[in-house]
Amino acid sequence: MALQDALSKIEEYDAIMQVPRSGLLGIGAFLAGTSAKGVAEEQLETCIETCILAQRAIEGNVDPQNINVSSALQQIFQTDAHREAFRSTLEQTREILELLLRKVRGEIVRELPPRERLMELADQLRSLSDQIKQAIPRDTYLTSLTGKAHPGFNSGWS
Amino acid sequence: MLLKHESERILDFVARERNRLLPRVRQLGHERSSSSSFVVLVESFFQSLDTLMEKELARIDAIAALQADVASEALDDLFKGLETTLSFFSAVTGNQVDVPRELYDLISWFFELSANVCAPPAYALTSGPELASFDFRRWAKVLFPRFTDLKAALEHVPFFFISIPSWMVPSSRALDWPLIFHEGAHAIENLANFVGPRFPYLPSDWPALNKLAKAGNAQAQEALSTYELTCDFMATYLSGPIFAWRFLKDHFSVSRALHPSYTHPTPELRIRVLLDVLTTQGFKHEARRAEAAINERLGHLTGPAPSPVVIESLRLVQGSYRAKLSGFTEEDYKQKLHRYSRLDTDGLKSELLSKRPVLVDPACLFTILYFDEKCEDKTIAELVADCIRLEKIRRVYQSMGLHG
Repeated sequence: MALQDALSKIEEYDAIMQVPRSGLLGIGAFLAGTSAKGVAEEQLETCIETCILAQRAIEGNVDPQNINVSSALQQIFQTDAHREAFRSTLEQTREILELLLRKVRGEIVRELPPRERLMELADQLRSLSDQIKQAIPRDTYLTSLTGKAHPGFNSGWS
Repeated sequence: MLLKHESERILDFVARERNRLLPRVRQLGHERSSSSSFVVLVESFFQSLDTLMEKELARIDAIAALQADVASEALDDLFKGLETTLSFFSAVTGNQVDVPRELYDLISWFFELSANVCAPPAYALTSGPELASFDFRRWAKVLFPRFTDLKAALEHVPFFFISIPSWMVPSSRALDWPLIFHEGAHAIENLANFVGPRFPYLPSDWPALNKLAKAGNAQAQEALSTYELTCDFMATYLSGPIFAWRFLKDHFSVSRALHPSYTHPTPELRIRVLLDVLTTQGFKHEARRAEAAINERLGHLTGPAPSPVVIESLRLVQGSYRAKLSGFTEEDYKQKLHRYSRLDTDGLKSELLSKRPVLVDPACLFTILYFDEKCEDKTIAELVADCIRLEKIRRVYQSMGLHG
């Protein structure tokens, strides 16, 4: 169970990290313009899908499709206030990314968020990424798989 | 290349580890034929890295232009995944010296019995903190989730690591080895998947069910119970009464019998299910023996009643396995003993207690010793391990048409 539990935690970490990771890449690719259109579409879609799963999970709908996201969220956001703040972040992220996705797909989008708003969202996603790393220490779980002491510098290169 | 140095460090690390680890693993393969499938796994892991690493790194480099920190994090994750995997391989290689080859002989014998439902799984035994097993395909999926080609290359062939508590590994604990059949049964069920279709609206993998059960999903808890009871059933159906005896001895406690966990049924239920299996297989006397033991331990206490869904699912799954596999019956036991010697169970037990080997298959060997406290002696357990080895050699000779 200890090993299976560690694998499960890593799985949960990766499931929820999809939100900041694909969100950041989607924004980066969108700003890069037509040369990265394919990447932008793929990453924006992934991020929106994960936001939907996370929204369902944060509202208490736990099902096989979002079980990893749901378990991760329970560890990261332990109070109602934190969960509510996260739900609001998800909503904003999804709203903005859906506009970007429509634009990437060639649809007419009247009110595209300005670059500054995208930068602000990117910062929010980076902050979420840090929050996830603190709540689910992936490296610690990885280290426990081999029974070694945790590397002191947390650098991954020791 | 923005992250050139970070990529190069990964390539250097893999090259150095290949030079350090691969010769050790190959040497192990020369010394112990039981490790041959583990050697193949490690070699194919390095082969996959040789073929795919440059491509994976180029893919990450492409995203570095869009978000350097995300790309750098991907490289960190890749490095940590590789470091953990190779470190795990190294630990398994190192502790093979502690794992008796007789234990490999026993587990391989068990897997061969299930050949009608799936090819005998490739596996390695390793000492660890607990009795557990996992498929390396899950490891690859979890540790390399973003590296699709690498993950796909590793997902082709199932490979099971069975972790055994270090106290159970030496041949002086050979009487407890049949408890490992439960983990072997997890590997078989993982490949055969008879339980999954009974719960069509749930994921069929144990870890996902575990999480759903933890979140309070009653169906997932029923599915998990069915998995666990199926593995107990397989251990008993194929190897006879020994599993029930050792389970009672090593895993039973009144507390656990009364308070179920969300993943495992209570030990009381597990034993009571096995009593039915033993009775059906003709081991009525052995079933009564185990029943008396559990009644004595529980006294007037009783645990929660089993869910009807679990009992019905288990009945159907047992039917599927029974249709494909021949179980070990009391009739088989008598016939095999008769073919081997004129002595009956008591006579052969006396032989063993007098430190003389008895060359019957492991199911018969363990049944001879069933519920006899005199067999707890360390030397007898070591003799049992020797008998497993000798019987394996006899089988090999026989398959080659050699006698004498």
